Amino acid sequence: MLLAAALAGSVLGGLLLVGYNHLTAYAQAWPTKGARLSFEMLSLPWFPLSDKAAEVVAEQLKKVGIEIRLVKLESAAMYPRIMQTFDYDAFALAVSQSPDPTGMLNAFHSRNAIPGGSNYWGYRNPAVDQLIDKVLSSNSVEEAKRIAWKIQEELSRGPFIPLYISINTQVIRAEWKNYTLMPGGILEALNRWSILYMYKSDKPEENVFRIAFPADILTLNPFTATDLRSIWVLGLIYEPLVALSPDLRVVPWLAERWEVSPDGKVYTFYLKRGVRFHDGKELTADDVVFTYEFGIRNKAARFIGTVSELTERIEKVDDYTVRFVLKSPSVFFLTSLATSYQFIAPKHIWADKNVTWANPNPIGTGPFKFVSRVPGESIVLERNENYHIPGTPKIARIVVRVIPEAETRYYSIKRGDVDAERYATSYTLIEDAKKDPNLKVILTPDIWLVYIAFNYRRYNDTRIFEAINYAINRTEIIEKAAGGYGIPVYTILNKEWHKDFANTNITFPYDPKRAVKILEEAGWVPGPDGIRVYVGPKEVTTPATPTPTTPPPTTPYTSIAIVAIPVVVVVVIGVLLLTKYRTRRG
Amino acid sequence: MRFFEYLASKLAYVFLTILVACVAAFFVFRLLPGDPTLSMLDPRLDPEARREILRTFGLDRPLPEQFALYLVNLLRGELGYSFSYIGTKVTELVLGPRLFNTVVLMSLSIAISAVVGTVLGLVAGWRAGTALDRLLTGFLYLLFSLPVFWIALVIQFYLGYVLGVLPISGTTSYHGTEVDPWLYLLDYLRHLAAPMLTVSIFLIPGYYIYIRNTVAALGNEDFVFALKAYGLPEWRILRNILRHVLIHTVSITANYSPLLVTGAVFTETVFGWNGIGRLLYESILKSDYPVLQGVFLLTITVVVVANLVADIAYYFIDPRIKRGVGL
Repeated sequence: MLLAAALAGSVLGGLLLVGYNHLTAYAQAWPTKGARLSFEMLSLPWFPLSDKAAEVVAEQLKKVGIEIRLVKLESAAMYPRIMQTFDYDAFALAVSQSPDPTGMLNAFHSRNAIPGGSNYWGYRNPAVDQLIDKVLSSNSVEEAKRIAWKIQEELSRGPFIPLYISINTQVIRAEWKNYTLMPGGILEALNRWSILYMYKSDKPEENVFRIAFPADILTLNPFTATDLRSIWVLGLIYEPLVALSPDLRVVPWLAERWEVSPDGKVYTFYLKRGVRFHDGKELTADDVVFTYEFGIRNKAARFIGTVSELTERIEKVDDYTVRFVLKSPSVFFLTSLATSYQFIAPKHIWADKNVTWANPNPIGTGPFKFVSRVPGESIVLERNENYHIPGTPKIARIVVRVIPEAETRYYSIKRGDVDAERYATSYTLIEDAKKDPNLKVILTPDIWLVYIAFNYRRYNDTRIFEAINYAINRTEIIEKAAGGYGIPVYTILNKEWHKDFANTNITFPYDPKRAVKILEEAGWVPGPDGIRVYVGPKEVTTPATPTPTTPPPTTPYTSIAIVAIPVVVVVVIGVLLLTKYRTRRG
Repeated sequence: MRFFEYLASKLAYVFLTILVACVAAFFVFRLLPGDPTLSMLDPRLDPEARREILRTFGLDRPLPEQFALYLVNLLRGELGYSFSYIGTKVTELVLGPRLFNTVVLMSLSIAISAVVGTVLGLVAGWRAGTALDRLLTGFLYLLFSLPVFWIALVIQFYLGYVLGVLPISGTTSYHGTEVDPWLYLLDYLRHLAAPMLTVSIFLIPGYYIYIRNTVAALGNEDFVFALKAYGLPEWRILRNILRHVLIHTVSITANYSPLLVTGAVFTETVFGWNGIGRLLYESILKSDYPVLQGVFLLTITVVVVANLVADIAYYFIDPRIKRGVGL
């Protein structure tokens, strides 16, 4: 009874909270006089790149009188607060980067400031909305760049504060050669080149590449895969229409060339001829049209996003020609196509299947054929002898092994049990790897943009964000959170991933004095404990005005519940066990 | 008390417990914080796609309806599909090689610890107060206080990496290749050795401490003095004492029984042992209710059955139960 009431209460509370946020989000309610410049910042302890960064940010901001109270939460507890209920002050996290900037841009559009939308920070600015709409439907690269630069200028005073792009520290056995460097690393799903040309021996059968994964792949289904581990494996078995070159330009893959109509709304793709699926059937336009229609119709995870939003229809022109007709032109369409991991599946296998089918024996056109999988343990692939790029792949066999513990993965590489691991090796082990002649350390920009973000629904004074930008020392953050392996970033787009779409004019040199000046002008003066308190802008404040006392901190009911519920459960279980044990002894 | 009477009363308990567990399994995990759709898919998912997923898994229906569906499926032996491993049945995930690996690891470890812990406890308790007792007790208390992942990492680093006598991770060296079954078994056992050693080191002190204290206390009992006075050889007295302490060995083993299927999260993680412990941990992080329900039901079943077996064992070990006293 009590439990039911509590549950109902919390659900109701959650609903009210959401409603409240929507109604009052943009009223100028904050700051009120006497407010403390103090934020609770949520952070994910299992993701040290952003978790450690949050700790350093807290230290740095304290020096200018801004208090950051760190709250470490598991993702299951943190994500609903930042994505659904918006019950937070600030958080530290990372967002994966891709050459397609539409995801980053959309995250600042007010239409996405809804529960489940990507505008977690609730940024709302009609001018920026207009610019985003304009850039996404532009038909000229030059114009798109100009608008993108303008958007970044606007957002440099926004609640999203980028810190750094991590550097991928990839450890690999030194005997391997001929891999291709690309942002994201040599073993990233976007990098289709490394795995085609890598080898260690001139004897083909000796080229067995053993790679360690921290966890098992979640699925072999190319339509519903969401984790990058599954996508990497599926990308070896299946292939997209177009791919990315090492310098992130869109290049032909299953489509050997394409044409764009002058209005930018019709893309015609000409398929490579003689490409065969692993079961011998030839790839035709039917498979491409089927894949996109099936994926989009079923709202499969891989087919949600820019490509499906832009596409009005897909037509087969002849057996080797496919036409995409778009609702509006977009300079990002091809990049989206190359980065969405939309793999062409054979129609003759999938036509009568459900979109969530487990696909236990995947058949694609890719350089590797599926051999076997032991869930939780290993996946084995072998060379596709009839692959459509002559002379590749050089690797005869790929063995994916699940090794959950980071140190074990590293020592397995060191001992030669495996050749490399899927993701970057922790920087704490890199110094050791550098000294080992059997190992090589490869550095490339990684996919993670580490950032802090504030809840704009609660705090919409852009001067605070400007001050924070000057008060944080990104170099020190990178040094302490990533061992120096990072690239400072000041805008939502960056030159590592978005080339000249990144506005390189915007930088925030570390300048705490300037931060203090901005805060003082905005009406924040140091309180008794050094944390700033709002007294109102300078011009209207008379020195005689007494500073109101700080309101008592509100009780963090949710935190109490988070601690109390498990404690009660543990105590109850303990008591039960004890009594049971007692009776047995008696 | 007659054996069948005794058994029937215990069996009634078993069915009641399992019934309650089936109901609890459904609700317990829905109390967890977190939204399964968030861990299931890209957080950048649009709300429409999220609704689609909720519909696929029946999560959009009212809770009572979900519960009814769950009970119907349960009767058919169906536990549904995993939220995170899309397209994979829970029964496939839980009852596959993972369960086998965990049961092998844990049953052998528990058996080894029960024997070693009981024997060491008997020896030290019989010689309570001597240097041998102090040495053993001190050492085992030290082991008892060490975190298990530390033990695992030390064993892995020295036996696996430095000396190279044991493999450091996984359950096999043969991936996707045909191999002679005997070679495969030998290789499997080599991979098993380090995690088994770790779990045993972790479990032995639990048996040892309890048995040692019990034996030490028994040393002052009248029947022990009597046996000594008869001039019985030491080993025969110990055999009598053993009967008294075996009941505790059985109790402790019954209490460890859930480990048989839930496995050892840390040990399995460090050694990459493909077992239920790791699955459980991953599933909690991902709010994968169906998998959690599956493991929970399996655990409850094993606990209940293990306790039943223990109760039957008491009946034979402890003559007082037959006479209907002390219960």
